[in-house]
Amino acid sequence: MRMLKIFLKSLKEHARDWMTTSLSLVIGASFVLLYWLMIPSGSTTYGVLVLNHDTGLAGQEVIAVMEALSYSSGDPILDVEPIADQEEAKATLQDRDAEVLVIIPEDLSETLAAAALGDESVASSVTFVGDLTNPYYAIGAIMANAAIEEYVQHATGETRPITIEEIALGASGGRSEFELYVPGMLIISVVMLVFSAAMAITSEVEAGTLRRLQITRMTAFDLLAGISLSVILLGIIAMLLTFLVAVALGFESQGPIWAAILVAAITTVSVVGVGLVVAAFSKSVSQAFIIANFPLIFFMFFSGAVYPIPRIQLFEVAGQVVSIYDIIPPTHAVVALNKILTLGARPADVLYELVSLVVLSVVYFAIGTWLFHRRHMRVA
Amino acid sequence: MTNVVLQAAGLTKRYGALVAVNDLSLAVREGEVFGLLGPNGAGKTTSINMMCGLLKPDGGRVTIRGQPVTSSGADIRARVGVCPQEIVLWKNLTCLEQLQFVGEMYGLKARQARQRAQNLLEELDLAEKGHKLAKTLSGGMQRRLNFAMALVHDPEIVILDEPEAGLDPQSRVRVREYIKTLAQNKTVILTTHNMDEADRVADRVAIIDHGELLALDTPEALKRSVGEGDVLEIVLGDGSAPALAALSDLTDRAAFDTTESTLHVRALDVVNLLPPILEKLAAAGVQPGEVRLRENSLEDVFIRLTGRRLRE
Repeated sequence: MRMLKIFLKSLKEHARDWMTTSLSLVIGASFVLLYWLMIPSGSTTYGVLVLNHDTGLAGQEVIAVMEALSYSSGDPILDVEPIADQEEAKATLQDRDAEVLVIIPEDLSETLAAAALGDESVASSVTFVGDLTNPYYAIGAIMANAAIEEYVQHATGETRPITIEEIALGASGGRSEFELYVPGMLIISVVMLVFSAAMAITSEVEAGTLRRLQITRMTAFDLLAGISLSVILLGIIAMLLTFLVAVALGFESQGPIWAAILVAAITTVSVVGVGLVVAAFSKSVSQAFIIANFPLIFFMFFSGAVYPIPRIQLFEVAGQVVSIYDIIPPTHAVVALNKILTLGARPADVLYELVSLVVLSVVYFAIGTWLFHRRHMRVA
Repeated sequence: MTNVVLQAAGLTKRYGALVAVNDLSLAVREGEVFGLLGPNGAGKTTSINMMCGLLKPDGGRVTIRGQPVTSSGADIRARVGVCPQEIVLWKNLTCLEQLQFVGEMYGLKARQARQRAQNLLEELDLAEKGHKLAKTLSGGMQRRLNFAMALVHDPEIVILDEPEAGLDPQSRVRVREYIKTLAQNKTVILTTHNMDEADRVADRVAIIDHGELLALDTPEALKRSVGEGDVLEIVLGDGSAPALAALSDLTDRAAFDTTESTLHVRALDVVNLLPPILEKLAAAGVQPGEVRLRENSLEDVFIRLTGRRLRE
């Protein structure tokens, strides 16, 4: 089994190049740690500054309602800070040390009292100030607005004609924001191996060892499958390491972990396929490193691994909407992992994603093998 | 009749407008050390790449024991061991590991490959380095390991591309001795631009330039073809044409060749000819510079065939 010999040789080389290999393995885990450090409570808390001009008690009570808003874990949603100077508040917003400034008018208590007595002619205005380009502003403002609305209803005794009921899918209701990022991070840990795959294969070209092997009985399949297997193994280890770090930081999987490992392993095949395409166009390891950045960006940012992206629909097959980003294998992997890890789905529930992932991975690997063989291994 | 193990017939390779190898035909006999001598860019490496199946000829074909190299598959190619000019190793594998690995890629069983690897390391004085990573070896050791990699599967034909390139004089002598040992039971084809190497090591030498075969014979026969005796080299400052004219009445006693600013005089009693040559040059107003005396060499053959030196 020459393929097995090449696999073992490749593993030895990865192990002896321990610094590069270790860095490849811990990238995903580092991302998890980074996200956890960014959201120490597990979910984002939005900074709200309140400039309370109200002469009565309503202003203070609005602040209290805002402070009471919390996640299911009990962590506060808003970090409310009363402030006296508007200019100082604007400077804080510009520094992005807070997201929203809420200005409560001096007649708030008076207006609410009149409204409670049935006077419909009274009106008062609460002002929101913020940097609209700050992605956290909208969420902070919506949550502050919800708190004010709730207080106004309570203070005036008004009832809403429509109530909103929220049903959480699977266990998503009890998930922290940190936990929602974890599936994407697991995929990133695998996607980052495009460097290892491309560089391991290109090193055979650059060192001339490929030429040496070409005159042996080894076939192109032996070489590429052997090296690919070693990278797939690294992918599984990287994914497990990332998962363990996430668990240590409070992540809880709702579905079977073996199914998540299966998804990661299949994704690695497609990543290796792309690595082969990169290697096909590279003559040196440094060239492979530079070229590999391009597919990496596509895999990371257009798959939804880093943040959700809008689906641009191409067509519909058997009730399944196919979007432009569905040609990127990690797109299906992210969806599958979300369903398994967050919503507690079983493999049968993610059959469409698994089949898509397998088909795309085989296609990517086949293209990579064909291109690499054509450009580096064909006797010309 | 001597057996032919490798035959090239009408071998041609083009890269766009450049003809790297042009209609090269030669036969390598069993058990001989066959030298391909030519300057850099003559087409030596291209020729051996076609001989071992790494390059496909545009014309002609190579056969090993009568079977074509390119279409007969790995079995035929495995009869050849190639040592490239560059050091081609896996830097993060030990000497033993990479020899064993290559042996296994050629189809040897793991135990057989390991045994063969150990033997080669001993033969090439690398036994103590068997468990050292290739990247930790000195340049000379890496080159010897590179050499061993071509031999691990015990090939019938060994092709060595510039085997002495980058070696110190001591290692060069050892490599020459090892090539001669190899030739006791293998056929060795070596490329070189070093006439001394070809002269000392090869049983027969093919001189090629611009991809074409210019001459093929034993070193002695090739040297004889350009004349008997030693060679006197006289460096001329003012060009060679006036000098040749001045020495025209000595052509019955010696052969005269010129390359740019050097006059080559070949004769059996060339030392005795030096005084009359210098007199005639002085009479013609030609000022001779450095004067050197050396033995007849393959360089002279190359000069006779191409009108220039090997290193030019």
